[in-house]
Amino acid sequence: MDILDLVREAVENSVEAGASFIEVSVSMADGGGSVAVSDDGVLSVDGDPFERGCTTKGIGRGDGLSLIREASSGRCSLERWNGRTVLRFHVDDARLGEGLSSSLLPIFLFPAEIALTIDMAGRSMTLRTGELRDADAFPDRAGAIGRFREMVRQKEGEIYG
Amino acid sequence: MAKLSLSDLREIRVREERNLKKRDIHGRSVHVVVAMGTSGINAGAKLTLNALADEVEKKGLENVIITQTGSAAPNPEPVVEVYTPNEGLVVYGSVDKDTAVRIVDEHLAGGKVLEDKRIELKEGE
Repeated sequence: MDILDLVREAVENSVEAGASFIEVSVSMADGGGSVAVSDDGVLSVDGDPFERGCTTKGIGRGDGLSLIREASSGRCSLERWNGRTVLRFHVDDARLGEGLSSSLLPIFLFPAEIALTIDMAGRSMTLRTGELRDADAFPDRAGAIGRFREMVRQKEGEIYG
Repeated sequence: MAKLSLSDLREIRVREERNLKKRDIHGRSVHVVVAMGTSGINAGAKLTLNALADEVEKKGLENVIITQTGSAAPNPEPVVEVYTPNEGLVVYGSVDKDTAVRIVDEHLAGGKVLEDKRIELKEGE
């Protein structure tokens, strides 16, 4: 499983909760992956937030967290800490999908400030919405899409060597 | 995955339009929206989104802006919505990588709607 697909679900959940700043940490080790997603959105769910369909966002919504619970075999948590909502989960059989920029593109298209760090065997890379904007590399238009892919390729070197 | 009602889709559309206004979209008259969500991803929406992005990049279509939205189930996913000044809203279903390239080449660049892939949005249960 591409763990960044689950990260996309988590980020979507944060955006739907009204978050404007989302920090994501992905740690890959021993064939598994641990993720922490912290956001400044509102946590207002009655009941188990990982239950399918449990949401305050309307009928038919709220499946993202249930998918994360399923993928993580229940090794997940959601809590408020220091005024932020923090989602954590661990997936035993996880990988980064081939072509990192293809997995990161849908994550960074969300309308929020995102800071995403990937750590692999002690090497790490970080990508921020702000630096994409500064480099005119927000990947929603011609020109910027190419710059986005190039920026991710360069950063991939920071974790793969 | 989530099944959206028409009112949900309208709400998403309004929200996306609001988000677009926050960005620098001056001079960009064509809006492409890819429905993602779990069901969309399972149907290949990530490939579709990337194929659309790469083709828009390759063609240098500077009047196009690409965004994403949530699941479009129960419609045949991946679903892609295209807004243009001339044709208004056109919705495509079962958009695989090849169809994504066709949408860019024929509709966005050529102004011709792909009637064989066009769908009417169905309301979720």
